[in-house]
Parts: sequence; structure tokens; C-alpha cells
Amino acid sequence: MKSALLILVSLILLAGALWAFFQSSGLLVEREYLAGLLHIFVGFATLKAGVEFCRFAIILHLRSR
Amino acid sequence: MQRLLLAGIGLTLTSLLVFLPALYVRTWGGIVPAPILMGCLALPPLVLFGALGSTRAPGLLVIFPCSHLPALFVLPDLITSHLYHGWNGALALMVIALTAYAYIKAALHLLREGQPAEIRGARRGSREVALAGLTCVIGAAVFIAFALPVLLQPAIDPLAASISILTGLLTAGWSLAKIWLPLVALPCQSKDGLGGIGADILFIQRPSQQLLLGTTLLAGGALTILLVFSWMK
Repeated sequence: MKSALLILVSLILLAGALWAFFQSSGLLVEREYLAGLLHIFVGFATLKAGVEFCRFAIILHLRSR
Repeated sequence: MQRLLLAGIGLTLTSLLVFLPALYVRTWGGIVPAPILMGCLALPPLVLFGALGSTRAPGLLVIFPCSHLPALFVLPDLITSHLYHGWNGALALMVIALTAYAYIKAALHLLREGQPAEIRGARRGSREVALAGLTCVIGAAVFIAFALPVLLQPAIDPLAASISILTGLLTAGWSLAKIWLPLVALPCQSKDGLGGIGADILFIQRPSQQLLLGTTLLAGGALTILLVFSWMK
């Protein structure tokens, strides 16, 4: 149950990362390079958080068996 | 032998992607290439031999493919629909795609040789294959997130579009190489499914409470700020 919740959180964070990347591309197209770069950093941080949650969920799943 | 094979496939890919189109554009298009293009054309072989020397995944799978992009940006005629039109163009694209596939397979084979015997000999179960597939989907989703605004906007500056697509490629490659590939590489098949040395490595590399809290706060805070600014705009 707990690992499923963590997987859900990681999926939400992943969706957030994709949204940040989508926004960054829109800004790069409009030649707002600094803003686009900042959005990419946010996307990376969110992606990293999602992966850590996913890894934590796998560990919990392995421990519960 | 493996390196020689990979060098041959890599050079074939470079020839199909930039050398032959450049020759075609110069001979039949009447376009005289700028001197900077010569430097850009020499970049992929140099990068390939450098990557073969180090035999690391980012060099072979990310930097070498991306090294073709400067030549394509300097002379966009190398990838115009004029060049790849009709059945001949479709056939050429198919040959390029097959060569790229062969290159990736050969590169992965070479990279696998450098791994420890336990990991190399580990069998892949359906769960591991699913995880690898999920990784590819994530990489594709990251690239699509970058490509969508470029495709959706009707009038767009080619340079800005190129920068956006290049950033998308680099971001997707970085995400795969640095974040998701280690996650996929960890689980190895044992008698009871996902476990064995994969589980051990996963447990050793488990995230600390501080890291989990820190990344969550950072990501959550930054996303909230972005959402607020998006609504205000």
C-alpha cells in the first residue's frame, strides 16, 4: 500500500517534470533563454525527486516480501 | 574486434547522415559549403574515436549522435524534405534508421562487455524488460515535451526551434543516461524474481531521508512557484 502510494507520488512528480520541460521549450522558442534554462533545472529536480521516490518504493516492496 | 565493428558502423552512419547529403548538396544543389561546415563534418569521426577510447555510455550513446547536429544546423539543406522526397528518400531514411539501430546494438554490446560477470550473466525477466520499456517511454516523453511547442507554433525562428530541439535531445539523453538507466540496470533476475545482487545494490544505494526530503521540497517548491507564475501570466 505504502509503495503504491510512493509510485503514485513519483508519477505525479514525473508529470510535473514533463510539464516543466514543455514550458521550457515554449520559452526557448520565444527566445527567453534564461527562463527556459531555469525551467529545465526545475524539471531535472522534479525528475530526480520522482526517481528517488520510485527507488524508495521498490526498496519498500522488496523489504515487505 | 567489437570496437572495430562499432567504428565501422558509426562511420557508415555519419556518412549516410552528413557526408553523402553534403556531397549531394554540393554536386547537384550547387551550394558551396562554408569553411565552418568542414569543421562540423570532421566533428563526428573525432568524437567517435574519442568515445571508443574511453568506452563510456554517455560518449557512445549521447555525445556521438549529438555531434552530427552542428553540421545539420550549419547547413539545414542536409535534412530538407527536398533531399528526402519520394520513394528514394523514404528508402534512404529507412537505411539511416537501420544503421542507427545497428550502431546502438553494437554500442550496448560493447558496453556490456565491460560490466562484471555477475551482472553480464544475469537473466532479464519480464519485470526488468517492462522497466527498460518504461525508461524508453520516459525518454521519449521528455523529448516530445520539448518538440510539441516547436510543432504547435505556426511561424517560428529556425534557430530558436533548433536550440529547443537540441536542448530536448540533450535533456532526454541526460535523463536516460544519468537518472533512469541506473534504475533499470540495478534489478537482476534471481530465483525469486526481482532480487539477488540487484536488490543488494538497490538497498546500498537507497536514498537517505535528507535527500528524499530535500529533493521533494526543492521540486515541490519550484513547481508551485512555476504554477503560480503561469496562472498570473
